[in-house]
Amino acid sequence: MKKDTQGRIHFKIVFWGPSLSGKTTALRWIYDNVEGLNKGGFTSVADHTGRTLFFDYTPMQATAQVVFDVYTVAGQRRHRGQRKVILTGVDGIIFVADSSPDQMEANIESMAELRSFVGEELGHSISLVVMLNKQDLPNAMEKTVMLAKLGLGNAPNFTTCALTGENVKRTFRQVTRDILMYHLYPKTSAKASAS
Amino acid sequence: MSITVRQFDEILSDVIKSEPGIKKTILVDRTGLTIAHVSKFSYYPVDVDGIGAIASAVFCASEEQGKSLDVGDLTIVTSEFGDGKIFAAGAGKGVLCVITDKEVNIGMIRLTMMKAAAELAKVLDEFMAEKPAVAAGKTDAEREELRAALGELEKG
Amino acid sequence: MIGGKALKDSLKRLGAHEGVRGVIITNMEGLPISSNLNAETTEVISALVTSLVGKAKRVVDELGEGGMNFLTISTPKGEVMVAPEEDYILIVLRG
Ligand SMILES: Nc1nc2c(ncn2[C@@H]2O[C@H](COP(=O)(O)OP(=O)(O)OP(=O)(O)O)[C@@H](O)[C@H]2O)c(=O)[nH]1
Ligand SMILES: [Mg+2]
Repeated sequence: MKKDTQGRIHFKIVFWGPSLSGKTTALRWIYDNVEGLNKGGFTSVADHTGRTLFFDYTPMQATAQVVFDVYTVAGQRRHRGQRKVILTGVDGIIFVADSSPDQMEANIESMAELRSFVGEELGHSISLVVMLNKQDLPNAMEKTVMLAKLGLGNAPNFTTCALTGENVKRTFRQVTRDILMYHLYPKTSAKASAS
Repeated sequence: MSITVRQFDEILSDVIKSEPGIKKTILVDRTGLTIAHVSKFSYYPVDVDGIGAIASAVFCASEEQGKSLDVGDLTIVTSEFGDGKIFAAGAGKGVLCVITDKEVNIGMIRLTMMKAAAELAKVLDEFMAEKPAVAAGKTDAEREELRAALGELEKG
Repeated sequence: MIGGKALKDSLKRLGAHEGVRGVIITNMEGLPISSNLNAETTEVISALVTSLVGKAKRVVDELGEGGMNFLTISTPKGEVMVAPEEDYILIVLRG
């Protein structure tokens, strides 16, 4: 949480997850479809195929005084340094897992990296919501199996399809709500541990 | 406007006035949030938040790169384009970003930025102390804002 | 453009002159190319003098003087001599 010079409160939300899991697609869907949020520009640092090289960023204003600055990270392994930079000052994370079975290892690796960067704060002062994306795939993995493998059995989660927007808005609403609740009632809103 | 906020604008305006060719100055923090910005011409249309986010990220990424190469502290990142230049200098908890024309006195801009960055670093510390980021100790007004936002989100 | 060796030689020659405190060559962007002073002083002088040359050039243009060949500033310590060339500026501190 931060305040800017006009006294507005800012919260930073980051879409995290392995490459091609659908982070950019999900943010883009929110940007294009969710009404009621006053959105700024959409900034992307991506390669010509659309894969994120550094980040996507868009500010979304909930009220005159509360703004969510929403980022996605670059999921490809070599962009680890960039991911770490984007994570500074984060208030809430949407972990986008890829439901294709052959991506499960990448999901686990990405989650391990996230834990190594934010440690104990995850699921406490940093809200965490899990998006089990690409559930539309015919061979999509079972939700409970994925959560167990990721060690995220207790985290709030949604099965989604970022292409159609299925459950994407609910995921986003969950993380924004968790962030606000944590800041309103820091003690009582102890959330499911993510460790 | 509080005193610190006005100080940001003053320092940024002074940078613009110091040399011909400076079009815009932006101060961002290291999380990518734009704190203050000043343009030479009011009609200069840019997405300041987006530019600020990139400036901060690029500077911090270069810094990260430097750490693994053991080349000391990063002072300024310069990006040269066909029709202009972008400079970013570390300013304590923030990053000072300056956008210029192509033909400028780089030496002078470096000096000015370094001096301004030192001043901004101090004011930023005050500003951040004024607006603590801790969850505890929120004012009633702030809690009201958060509740309003919560209400707004429930609606959607 | 001025070559490395030739540059070093002329710097040396100029620096050896009686009363010369420093010689700096800077590019038109205010960035030093060569100098016999320490790095920090060099940076400051290059930036400031380049800025001054830009302003002085605007003055002589306005006055219709047909260009600027040389700029001398007398100071209590001596002189700052500035020779603006096509793509570099030669600065000599003397006295
Ligand atoms: N079938 C299916 N495809 C999806 C879904 N979400 C995203 N995709 C596709 O997956 C590919 C990668 O999506 P991106 O959003 O670019 O992935 P990313 O996570 O941003 O990847 P990086 O930028 O490399 O980290 C695209 O071709 C999307 O169309 C989904 O829910 N279902
Ligand atoms: Mg992406």
